[in-house]
Amino acid sequence: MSRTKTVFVFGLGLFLLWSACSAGELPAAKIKIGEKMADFTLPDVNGKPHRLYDFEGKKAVAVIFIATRCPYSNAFNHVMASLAHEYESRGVAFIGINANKTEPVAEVAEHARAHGLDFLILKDEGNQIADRLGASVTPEVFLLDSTWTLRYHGALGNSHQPSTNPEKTNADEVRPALEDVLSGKPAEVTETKAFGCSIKRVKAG
Amino acid sequence: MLRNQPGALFRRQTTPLPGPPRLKKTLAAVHPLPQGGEGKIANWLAVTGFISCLAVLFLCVCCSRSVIPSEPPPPKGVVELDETGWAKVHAQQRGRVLLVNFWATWCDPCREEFPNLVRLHNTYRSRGLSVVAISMDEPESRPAIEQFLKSQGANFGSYRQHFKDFEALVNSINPRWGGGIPATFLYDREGRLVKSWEGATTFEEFEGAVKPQLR
Repeated sequence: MSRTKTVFVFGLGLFLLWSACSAGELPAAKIKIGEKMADFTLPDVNGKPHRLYDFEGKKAVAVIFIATRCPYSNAFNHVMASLAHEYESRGVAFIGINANKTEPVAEVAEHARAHGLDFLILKDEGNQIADRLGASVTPEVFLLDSTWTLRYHGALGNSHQPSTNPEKTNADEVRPALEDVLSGKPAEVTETKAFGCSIKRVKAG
Repeated sequence: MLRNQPGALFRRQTTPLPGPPRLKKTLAAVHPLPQGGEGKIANWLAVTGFISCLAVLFLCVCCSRSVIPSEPPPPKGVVELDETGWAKVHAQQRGRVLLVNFWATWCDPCREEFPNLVRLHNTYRSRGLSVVAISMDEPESRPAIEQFLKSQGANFGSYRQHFKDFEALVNSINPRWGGGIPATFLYDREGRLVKSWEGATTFEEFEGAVKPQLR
């Protein structure tokens, strides 16, 4: 009996190891639609720490992974800036997170100033939050409702025809999700494919 | 005794080898043959063996050639690629191991990775590896794409994405691809996806996955 058990456990271990190895090549999103995002703390571009749960009382929080040097992300700068202006007055908080190891904090601050990204920008040194959320590219948005539950994950827009031309970019995919969350409904489309530049992680090199 | 003499090695090589007579003696002892017939049979055995070896060698060469189709000639210049074109490219390479790379001229890690693809193609194309590069650049960047490919000495198929629904295409390639570039996909001879990479990949990492597929 105990021998059978040992063989079973050994087999299960081998299977898990095999699954881990074969699944290791591309990252899977860590947080699923309908799951609650745990609180986190990250510093802003001046080094001041901010907690996610500081935004308690907001109707929704849009966490967007951004970059300074990625043409895909830069093509969406004007989209992000106008979305934040439009929806902050309606009770939505916007948080930009830069998790690229190649982009220093001073560059992130200057980039935000130059492109009118006047929402909170946090620096995720070591990609802890990018890893926890399972963010893989820039720009990529995670939309949380007032209970920190993930309601939408993916592209701001243009997921069918990604472009680095700012004239072709829009918020056609995140906007319906924002409207659904604000009206208390579950988002109709909960996931789209976020295209862009891979986040330059510390460990992946 | 011979070994201790100067020039023994040379003399030894020129001395008739003692093997065949000894073999004949052994054969004769085990299976006594009529006088005069043993030489003919030994010769017959040697000739048949030699011909059989040649035949096996010839078959091996023929078989390996018929299993690996030659590389389809790459189209000239950078070709616009939509869903139909992609299906065609994929089908054309059936029978060969295929490495598909998504990149862009503005993507630094893609540019850094690109020489690895050129080196892989040059090293393994004769053993059945094909490489295809698909650029994610805007249409106005075509001159930049062509210039970069030329500077790299890339002589494999090169395309610019012009997909009607890129999200659907990506999901059909690998739903776990987040959409980041560079992204590279390895297909076996039957056209099945065997490995995916997102982010810049080294020559050794590519080679480690490609080589077992070429066997």
